[in-house]
Amino acid sequence: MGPWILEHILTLIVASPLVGVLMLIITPKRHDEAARNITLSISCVTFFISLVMLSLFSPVGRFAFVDSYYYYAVAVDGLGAFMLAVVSFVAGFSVLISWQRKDLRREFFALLLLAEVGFLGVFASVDILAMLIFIEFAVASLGGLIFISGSSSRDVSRYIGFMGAAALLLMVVVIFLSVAGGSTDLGVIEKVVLEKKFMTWGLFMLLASVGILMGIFPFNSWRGEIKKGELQPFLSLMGLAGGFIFYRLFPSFIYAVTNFRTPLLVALITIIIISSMIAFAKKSMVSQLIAVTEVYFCFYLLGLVSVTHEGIAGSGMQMVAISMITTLVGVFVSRLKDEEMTLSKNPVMGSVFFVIAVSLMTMPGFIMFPGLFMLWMGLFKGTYIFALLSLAGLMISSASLIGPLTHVLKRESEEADKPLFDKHTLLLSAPLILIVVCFGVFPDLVLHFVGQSTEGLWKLIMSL
Amino acid sequence: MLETILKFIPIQDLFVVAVMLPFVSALANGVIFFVSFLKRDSEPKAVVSFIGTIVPFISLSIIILVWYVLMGLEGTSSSLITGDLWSWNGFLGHQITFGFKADPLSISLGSVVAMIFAFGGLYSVGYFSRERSLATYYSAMNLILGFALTLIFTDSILLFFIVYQLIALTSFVFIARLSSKGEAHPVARSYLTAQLISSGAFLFVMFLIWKTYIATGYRLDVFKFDSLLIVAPYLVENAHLVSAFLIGVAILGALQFPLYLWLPGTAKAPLPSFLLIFSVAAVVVSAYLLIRLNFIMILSPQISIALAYIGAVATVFGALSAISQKSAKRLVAYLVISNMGLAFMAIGVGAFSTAVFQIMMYVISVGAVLFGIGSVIYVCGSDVADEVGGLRKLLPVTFWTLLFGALSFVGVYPFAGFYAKNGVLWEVYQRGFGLMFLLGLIGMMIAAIAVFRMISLIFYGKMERSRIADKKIEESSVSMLVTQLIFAFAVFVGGWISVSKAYGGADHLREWLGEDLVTQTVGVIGEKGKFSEMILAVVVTLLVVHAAILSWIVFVQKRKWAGSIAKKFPRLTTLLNNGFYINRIYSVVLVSPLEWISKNFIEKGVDETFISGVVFGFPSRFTGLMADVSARVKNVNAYMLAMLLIVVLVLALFFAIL
Repeated sequence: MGPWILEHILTLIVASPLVGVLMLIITPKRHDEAARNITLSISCVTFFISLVMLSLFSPVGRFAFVDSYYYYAVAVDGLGAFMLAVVSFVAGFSVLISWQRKDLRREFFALLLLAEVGFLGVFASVDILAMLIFIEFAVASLGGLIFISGSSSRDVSRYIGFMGAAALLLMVVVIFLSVAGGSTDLGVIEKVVLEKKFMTWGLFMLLASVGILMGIFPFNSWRGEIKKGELQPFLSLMGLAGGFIFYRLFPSFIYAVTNFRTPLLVALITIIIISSMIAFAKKSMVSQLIAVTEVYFCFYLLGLVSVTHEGIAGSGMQMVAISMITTLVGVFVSRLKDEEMTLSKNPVMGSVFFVIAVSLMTMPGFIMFPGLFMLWMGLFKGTYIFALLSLAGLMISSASLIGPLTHVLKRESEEADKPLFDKHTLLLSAPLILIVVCFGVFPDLVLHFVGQSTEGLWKLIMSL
Repeated sequence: MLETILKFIPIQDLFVVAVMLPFVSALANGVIFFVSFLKRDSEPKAVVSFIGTIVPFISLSIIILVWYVLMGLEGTSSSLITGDLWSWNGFLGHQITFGFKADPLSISLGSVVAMIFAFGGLYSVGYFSRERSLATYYSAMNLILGFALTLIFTDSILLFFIVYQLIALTSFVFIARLSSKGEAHPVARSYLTAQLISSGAFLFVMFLIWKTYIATGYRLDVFKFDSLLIVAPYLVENAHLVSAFLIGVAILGALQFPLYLWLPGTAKAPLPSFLLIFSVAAVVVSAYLLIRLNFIMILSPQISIALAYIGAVATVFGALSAISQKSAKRLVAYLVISNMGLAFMAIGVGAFSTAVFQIMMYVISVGAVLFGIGSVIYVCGSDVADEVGGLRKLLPVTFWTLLFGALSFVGVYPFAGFYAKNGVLWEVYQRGFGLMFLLGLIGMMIAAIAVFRMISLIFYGKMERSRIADKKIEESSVSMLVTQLIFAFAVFVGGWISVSKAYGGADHLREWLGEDLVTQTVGVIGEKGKFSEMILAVVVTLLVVHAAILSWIVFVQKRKWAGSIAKKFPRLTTLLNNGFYINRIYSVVLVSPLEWISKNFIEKGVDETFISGVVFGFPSRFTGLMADVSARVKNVNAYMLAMLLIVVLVLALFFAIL
């Protein structure tokens, strides 16, 4: 592969979905049904390039594949590189999830590709202005997706209201940092020492905006009502993009994080417990799954706020885990016809739910376990009471899934109808289940990349 | 012969094969199930049964071979180590490795677990002969055996934890799939909830140990049991906490009073599953955890004594709850609590080798009893005392094998249970815990009444239901009878492996185990000699035998007495029948409040009313306005245009400020 392509491989990845958008625009309206094929093909190409980039990833310093042009500056560390592959994978999967929805037109797929550009941009940016623009791009495109996928206008407007607030807060933070650093370059910004007052306010504004993007309590009211299966992976990517922004920017607020560590931990653990109790109170299987994933976003933040190497590494692992599980949730939600479904009636859907539920219960051998294990190690390094309380939160959220899981596992009577064998769902979910188990059993596959990133971040934090 | 085998395969490799082979069997039967399911064809039952049965026997044979080799080793600590079979170096500079280790403790419990699974598999061939599908059963059985052996032989507490969770998950799936009518749901829910809490407590212990370790500066794989031994003295500061959490893990996992919520419910499972999964695997692994970490347990004598008292209360409580049960399996379920109470008493007072002996003898005794009950169920289709009776002459082999099992189960000389139970009581007594001793003794006596009530009703009572009486009643299949006979023999000779020196034995097993385990650390051991031990054993046995005879008189000779006693104390009878309403109490005290708070306070009050209503009241009105606008915007182009406009405005604002 030529050096030119290597130099611009990230730009190629970020921009490749735009080619798809262009193709969708020039496709005549009478060939509307070709839109999903085009989108899937482009997503596959993007995913393929991401895999190539991932296989070539071996940074000398903290970042690799640096490519910049004024405010547009992209580069990746291990986590960023892995997440680019994850985003393109998830985007392709979202197309597959929506495959049977014949009412979706090319606008939907165009917006899906635009949102993909936004998310890829966030994970690749090393310029905070570019990062802000990319996240807003993703926010706007996702809003469009919510709008045209059949969600109620109340949901759309609620989304716009919350995202508007998040954008505003994030913009203020970016302005703070840019003014203080005299640059929008992340390398410069990271080492900026803000004034104490600015730092405190900045941190809380950053946390609030990230909280909104993630849809965690008390900013969860926009998230819970959007239950379309094909949107779930992207809604989760939105949260992860928010989380990634925090991951990138929080070294600039490290003194404030350290000063407010205890109240922050208390607040996050309280949110975990409340979110878990909300999940516990939900009656619908889908609502419970969505509510429990919110809890994991809180865990992600908890790991970072613990300011320990293990905690940060655990958060990095959680990021990958959440993306995979929510994609599987997307498959499940989109294919769920009957909440009374059981393993005996529908073995494929039953198995998918089983894998999701036991993963969310942090069972060993499934994807959530390694990350949370490391995260708890980090928390234990501090005060173990916090780790214990967060464990209690996890118990409650897990308990909320026990009821539906028990129902799904129920044996049907001998007279029941023959089981339904859903091949489409099997094909769709099998690779995801394989990943969920593979990453759970062999965490090194993820840790190899995530560890490089978190180690760099940890060294940076130590140097501040 | 042995040398020839070992020439080809090193003993270490053979040992790994013994642990791993059940997983291969589970996989093979899993594949058979899926292929049959996809083809919508019937399973090859003979192949399924053969794969499912032969593998546990191979594992058992290898484990016995390893035991034999270990016995031949000289030195203070005889063990066989496989070395690191799997290592993980990438974890932030921490190295985590897993391997297997056979030492006196693990080989003793590993062999008894492998033995019950092997014979349980053989027994199942006959017991499930009328079932159409067996692949999932044998797959689950071998999976749990593989997990149990991995857990017992692992040299790492981290792998122990992982496998502990996987056993819980597999068992939960099993309970949840017990019935189609949903009766098993509350049991499954309680079970998994208990296991999740237990796992949480386990994690807490591991992290506390890890935190202590990083402060010491050692560069070891801290999760190895050998490393823990080095770090243990540094845990003194947190000893109470660690011990308390460890006990919590074991009590939840080993169904001990007062957290046994789910155990009686599992009695609904088919008998072999009830025996292997719930009466053996679940309880043995939890008790094993405490014994394996004996060097940590002894750091907190107060907590250990508390455990011993919990065990003593459980002994009485379990037996009392068993006494009025109509289902024989349910009765045994409560007696599991009572028997494990004795093991916990021994652990609590620091008599770890006696605890191991008690667990081993418990496993073969409960096996003998349940195999007998299984035979009754197989023949009569029921184990309920009102429905079956008068089987003594119809099922003579079953009667005698079950009687042998029962005599051992309650601790009558010369059966295995006698040596183990009296060993526990003696350990408690000689350390000066009089009340604990008394509770243990009372528990044993009540257990004897309960067990012999069951035997009396099943074998001497009257067959009251015509539907049962109409059936042709004869002994069960060969595989079941062979298993029953072998276990009857085992309960007769099993105790000989560790006959106390007070009765003229050499106490082989406990002496051997004692090399690796801490002993006699809690309480003050008095100057009581061998004679006192023998006298005590005689007294205990006489009391237990009298209790058994009393039971026989009441339930066989004077059956009206039992009815009139029940009528005289109706509330007490109801209380005992319902296991002291412990499930109900938990539901009222814990589950219902949590549900109420979650639903009414958190979801409706905090989330919907306060957060959405008050905090975001204004934004809600704003979004309401936006909703009207967006409802009017029907096409996506208009939306995109609006969004683009907003983005441009935001950027303009940004640059203006910058």
